Amino acid sequence: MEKNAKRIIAIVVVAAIIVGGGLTAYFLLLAPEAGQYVWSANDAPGAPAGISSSQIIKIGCAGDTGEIQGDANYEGAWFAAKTINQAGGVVVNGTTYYVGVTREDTDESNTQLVTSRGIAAAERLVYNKKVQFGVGGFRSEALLAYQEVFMDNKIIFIDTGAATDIFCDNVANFYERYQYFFRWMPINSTSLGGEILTTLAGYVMALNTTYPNHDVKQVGILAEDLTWTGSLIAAIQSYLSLFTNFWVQLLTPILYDISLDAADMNTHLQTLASQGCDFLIPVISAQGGILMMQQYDQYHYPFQIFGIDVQSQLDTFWGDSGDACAYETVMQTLHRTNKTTKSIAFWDAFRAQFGHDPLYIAIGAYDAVNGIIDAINATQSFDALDIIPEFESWTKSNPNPGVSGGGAWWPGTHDLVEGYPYGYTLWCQWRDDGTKVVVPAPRWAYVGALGYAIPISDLYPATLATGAYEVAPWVNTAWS
Amino acid sequence: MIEDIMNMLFNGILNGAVLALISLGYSLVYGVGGIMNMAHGAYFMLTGYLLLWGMRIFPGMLFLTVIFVIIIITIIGGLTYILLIKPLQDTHVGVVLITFGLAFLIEQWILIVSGTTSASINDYVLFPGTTEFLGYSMFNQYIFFIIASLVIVSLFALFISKSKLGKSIRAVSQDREAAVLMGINANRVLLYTVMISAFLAAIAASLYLPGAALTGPGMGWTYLTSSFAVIILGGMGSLVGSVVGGYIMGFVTSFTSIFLPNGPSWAHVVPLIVILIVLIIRPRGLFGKKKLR
Repeated sequence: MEKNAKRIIAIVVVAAIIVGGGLTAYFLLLAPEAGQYVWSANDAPGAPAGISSSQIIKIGCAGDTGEIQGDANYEGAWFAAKTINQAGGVVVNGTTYYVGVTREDTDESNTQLVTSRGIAAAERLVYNKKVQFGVGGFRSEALLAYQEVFMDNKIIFIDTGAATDIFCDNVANFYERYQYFFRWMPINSTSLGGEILTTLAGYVMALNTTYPNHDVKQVGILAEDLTWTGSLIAAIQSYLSLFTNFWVQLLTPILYDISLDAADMNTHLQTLASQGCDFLIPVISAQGGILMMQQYDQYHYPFQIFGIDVQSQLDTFWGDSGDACAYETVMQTLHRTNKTTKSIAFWDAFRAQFGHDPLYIAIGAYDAVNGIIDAINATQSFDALDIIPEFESWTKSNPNPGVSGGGAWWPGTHDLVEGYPYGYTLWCQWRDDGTKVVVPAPRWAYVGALGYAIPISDLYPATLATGAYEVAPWVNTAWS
Repeated sequence: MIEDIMNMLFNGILNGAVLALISLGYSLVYGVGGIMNMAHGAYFMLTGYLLLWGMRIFPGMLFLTVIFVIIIITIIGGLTYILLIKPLQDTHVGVVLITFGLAFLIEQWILIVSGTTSASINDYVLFPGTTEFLGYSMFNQYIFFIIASLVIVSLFALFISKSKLGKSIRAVSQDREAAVLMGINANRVLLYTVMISAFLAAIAASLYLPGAALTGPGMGWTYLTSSFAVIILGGMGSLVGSVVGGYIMGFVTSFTSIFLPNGPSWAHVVPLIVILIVLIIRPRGLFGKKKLR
């Protein structure tokens, strides 16, 4: 009896395995659209329940899930989708469509980058989820690899986070293949370098008046040794070389391995301090920022920090850094100020939704999704070859601004136009009470014909500033 | 120039002190049991995150939190041995794989609970402020860490050479079968060894990370690979080699950063070149005596 029972159980188990395996194989391999993602109302936040897959405009978010950059990309796209869907979606040729978003993990923030993971993520978006548009990108090395999946399939991809110039150089040089690539965020590395330098020049000139006993002159660069920092540093160097021995002097840039730890960071900051650095330009997108600020706070180095530190763009950085980021001034796409008429409303709504400030990539993704819908609405088409000319019509004379400005591309490159009121960043400074303010952005620039630098128009109107620029007390002491 | 030399010396010692403390435990476990515990870096990382959470949940009990966290990590070390290493200790590959899996598990768990954002635990800084020497500023917490590291290494050396458990550890390390025949419970010695190793990683993290920062759940791998390189340089299983190797790595890293062209980009590469050269000349590492198992 016992033997029979065991046999019966064994037969049942084997039968269950066979049936289960068969069903799994059928649904994964044999059934129509086997293994493909089924879009539903769950992917379209704010859309009515029960909408069909064919009513969804399918947008894929490529980013590093679980990292602030990848999460920001998805948050921005998701929030745009929700806003659009709650407003009734978009009507194309008499049918109402809603925006759906999905994401795949590219693992591109990983210090030990494996580009095949990004490619695999893009392939899942394109082949499995059948997205019609892609948004995302952060690490240029990764995006350079996985953008090809979108280009192979002639799918429009909007860059929301990678700054390297080469993406849009590709559009200019190989238009037929790369016409599907657009950059909505940020401005390219060279332009970032220019904005940093001219604004820094404005402050150097002003501070030399404030501190007559100290020659504010030495500028250091501390940057991740990554692709995106290369053209940015080259831009700074090319501008600065014009000014050498005149009003500013560039110290040898420090490009560090991004797997550095505190002792390494301490070595670099000590090196800069011993060289008499007055202004440090960080060019940091990852965890180096927190190491830098903690050391800066511990040592009270006698220089100001003024540059790019992505994690510092978030309001959570104050707590994350252990209150150590006071007086750091960083480029930030947006803050709660009237950059455009949509900015403050977006800022408040985003914070209400997610409980934290939007990272620049979130803003880029939000604007990119809205831009896609605007273009679909205008062309009444989902065809990339219809939408591309519409996008290309958004130039300086016909911009389509989002919450951060933008909305205008350079003809032929699909790169965001740099400069007010299109693509420009705000300069935000942390206060010692954990608040952050937008500071004015006076600029000076070298004029070759004159042979010297002169003040030029501010990076943005002074009305956008919410506070004055402050020198750290220990720097004030050192310079006085 | 003096500032540069001071910079190299101070940060070389700092780097070396961290690596020496972590590598010491890692090497100890290998030397005694031939065990490659790939979760060793995860102990270091987990200590930091437990301190971070402790700081947020019990802000007024920092010292007690540190003690509590060190005890937890030591217990986790013990559990690692009992539940994962002991059943597989006859197969070295099995131990490597299972502890590798544990390290990933801990990392993913931290990722889910805390996310990847880097964070500071500077509330645990015991000695804020800086001290100037020959015109060079040194963070007091780092000075404390360096001194504490030297004291711990010295106490550990005394413990290994003088205590009964230390002698048992050495006996098992030298000849496990003979030690068992002499009445030493080798499994128990191995258990204590893994716990001591985890304890050292926790001590290193508790003293160093308040002055540094938590750079993400993946940070354990950086320290694991660095300490792995250190014990290869020093000689697998050699405790003296771990300490000396740690400081050599530290000095080479800071020297490269400061004095070589494009040094910061090469700072983690040049030490590996040095290791390769040493291994070509002396395949067992600087102080290695045993054949690799």
